[in-house]
Amino acid sequence: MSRMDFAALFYNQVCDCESLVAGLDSLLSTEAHILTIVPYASEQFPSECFKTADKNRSFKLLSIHEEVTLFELVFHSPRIERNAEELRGRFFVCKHPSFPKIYMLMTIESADFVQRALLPFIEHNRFRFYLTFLKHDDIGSLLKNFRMNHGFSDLRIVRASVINRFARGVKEATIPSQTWPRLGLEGAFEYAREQNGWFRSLSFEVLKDSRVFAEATIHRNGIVKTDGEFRSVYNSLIFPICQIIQDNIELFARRSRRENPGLSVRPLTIEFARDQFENVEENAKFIEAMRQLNNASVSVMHGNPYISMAIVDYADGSTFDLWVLNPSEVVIVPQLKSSIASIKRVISHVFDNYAEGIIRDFQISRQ
Amino acid sequence: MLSDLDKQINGQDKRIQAQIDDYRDTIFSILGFCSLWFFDAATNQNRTYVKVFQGRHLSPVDKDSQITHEQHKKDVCPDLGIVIRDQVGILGEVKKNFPKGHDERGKEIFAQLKAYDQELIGWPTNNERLQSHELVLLVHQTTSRAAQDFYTKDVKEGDLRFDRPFSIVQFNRSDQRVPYFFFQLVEGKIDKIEGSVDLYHGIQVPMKNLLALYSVIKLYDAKPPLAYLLNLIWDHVLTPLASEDPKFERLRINQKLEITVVVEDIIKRLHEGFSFFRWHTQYPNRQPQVPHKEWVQEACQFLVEVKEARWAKDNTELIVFYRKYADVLAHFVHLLAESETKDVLQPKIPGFETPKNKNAN
Repeated sequence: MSRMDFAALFYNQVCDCESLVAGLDSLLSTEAHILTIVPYASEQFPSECFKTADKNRSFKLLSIHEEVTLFELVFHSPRIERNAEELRGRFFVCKHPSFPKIYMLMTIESADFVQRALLPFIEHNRFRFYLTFLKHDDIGSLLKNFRMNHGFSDLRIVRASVINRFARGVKEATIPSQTWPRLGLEGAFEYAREQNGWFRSLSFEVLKDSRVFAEATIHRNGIVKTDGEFRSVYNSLIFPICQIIQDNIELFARRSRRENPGLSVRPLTIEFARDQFENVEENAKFIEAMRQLNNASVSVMHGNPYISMAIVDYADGSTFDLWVLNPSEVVIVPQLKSSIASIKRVISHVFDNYAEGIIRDFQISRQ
Repeated sequence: MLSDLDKQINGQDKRIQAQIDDYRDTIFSILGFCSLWFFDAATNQNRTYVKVFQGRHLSPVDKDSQITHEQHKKDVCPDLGIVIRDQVGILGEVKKNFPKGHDERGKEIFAQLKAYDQELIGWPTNNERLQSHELVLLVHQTTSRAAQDFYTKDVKEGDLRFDRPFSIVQFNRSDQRVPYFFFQLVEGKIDKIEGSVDLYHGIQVPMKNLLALYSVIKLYDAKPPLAYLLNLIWDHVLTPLASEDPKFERLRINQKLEITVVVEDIIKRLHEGFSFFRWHTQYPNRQPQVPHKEWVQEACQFLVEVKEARWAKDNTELIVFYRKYADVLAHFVHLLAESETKDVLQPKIPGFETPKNKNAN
């Protein structure tokens, strides 16, 4: 008797967002797959985003529905080998039901396909695909809500990639599960805080009593992987991440002076929970952290006691002024040209390399 | 170990950075001082009945005559001007470093202020005239005593007398946790302040309050340090142009990208984006274009001399070999420091000056 090909059946049945979610949920409960979900924002429709290929990649639109589009990507490895390696895989792009610029890319293809073929394309085209950055505390809140909303008894951390700030540049340390036997969520976040670090990614087992229902991974850039419990992951992780992306693009949009009447400025602030710049030595740390921004010019106009910097992002020519005029905040002033992607890059650099804070509209307060 | 040449270059590097700091502080002080009138601290709003200007040309006028071409030549361009309710005004000059002792520069500064002490036409009012105005000299706290002494001994007791109310205001930037500019009256009296501004005991203007202005006003009607101007041109004119090229994103740090820029476009972009231009949109006549053309031409010529550009179309266009520098300002400060140090060390024999030396003279 021939074995039922659930995956083929699934690809044929998907016609909208609900059938995609239901199909993936069902597929993961019957077959061993790792589903990768990439929530992103874009000004372009998927058919435009995945039309342009590079020299190693070609896209083919396999089916298109109002909410869901299915693509195939063929990737030819640039490695020089006698038999050029080819990676081929399919992925869905699903429109967010409420936010017109937000999409969720989903694929059950191999890790090799995802890591070598698909994600590098998205990363290289970051002005077309706007991913997010989840703050350390955001990840904690998302996971706590995920646990609570679906009645899971615990989330047991199995792997974590922690980045320590100020470790002579950003250094990554992957912490194996043996280091944290049966460490729960709270313990893991406490550990990272003690190390002045943040999670680049966190892999965890989803437990009900002592039974493992799924293993999932959440990345700081909003990418989520899971091998089960997709409906719960979709509702309590993917949807809130889409909301964060939406909030950020609303906050970062139209910041460039060219887009504002009279070329006026619309600055943003990063507010820290404590007086980060209380000691003047902190200025040097911050300046050093900003100088690590790659593919950019960082010019320090003034470094002590206040900080004034000019930043040019060479990825797209965006320019910013950056000021520290108060112990608890950094002010980012987008100049004549500044894209959403570039604002996101500067802010995430501050979060990754210096400290995390709350992003707000700049307000003048007479003191 | 650093060679003597390197030490001299480092010293020059620091001097250029100090000049840039002075230039920026002067802008901050103009903005801070004017904000005492145009910004209402109680409501956090700008006062609509206060007009402020910088670098405006005002012409002396005889009581019985119209202004003439000859008088235009005697136009004055104060560093700051304030008009309140189209009735009264203040004209001011900012001299961050007032000379100590009784040297000629002190006399020149007061002569300049004396030129403002007459009926002037060209104010941003309907008939371009004003009922009355006062005069103020804004000096840094470290040199305010020198300015005060000069005024007391050389002006009051000398031939030079002011017919209009004259005052000296000192300013400094406080290096506290929350930096601010501090303004205090040290001589005379200013009557034009509305509200409860106590200039006699001193007023703090937190830098944060004027940050939106600092970010859009980076040039005023005084020649900026060349490295600073080059930095502005590179960041805000050349980089946007270069970024339109498809090769820009992948341009490596050791690669160059040729871009063409029209000199007039550099002036226009900086004028509209980074000068006091926005203050004057309601009354643009009599306002000079900043940066001045000759400053920009000098900056372009420097790029040509250091082989980062070449002239085209009778020096109206510049072809720039654009590169991605890790620190644009430091790059130009260092290039300037090198160039200036070598110029100083180069022996100059009369009759054998290099073309560059001749230009400089």
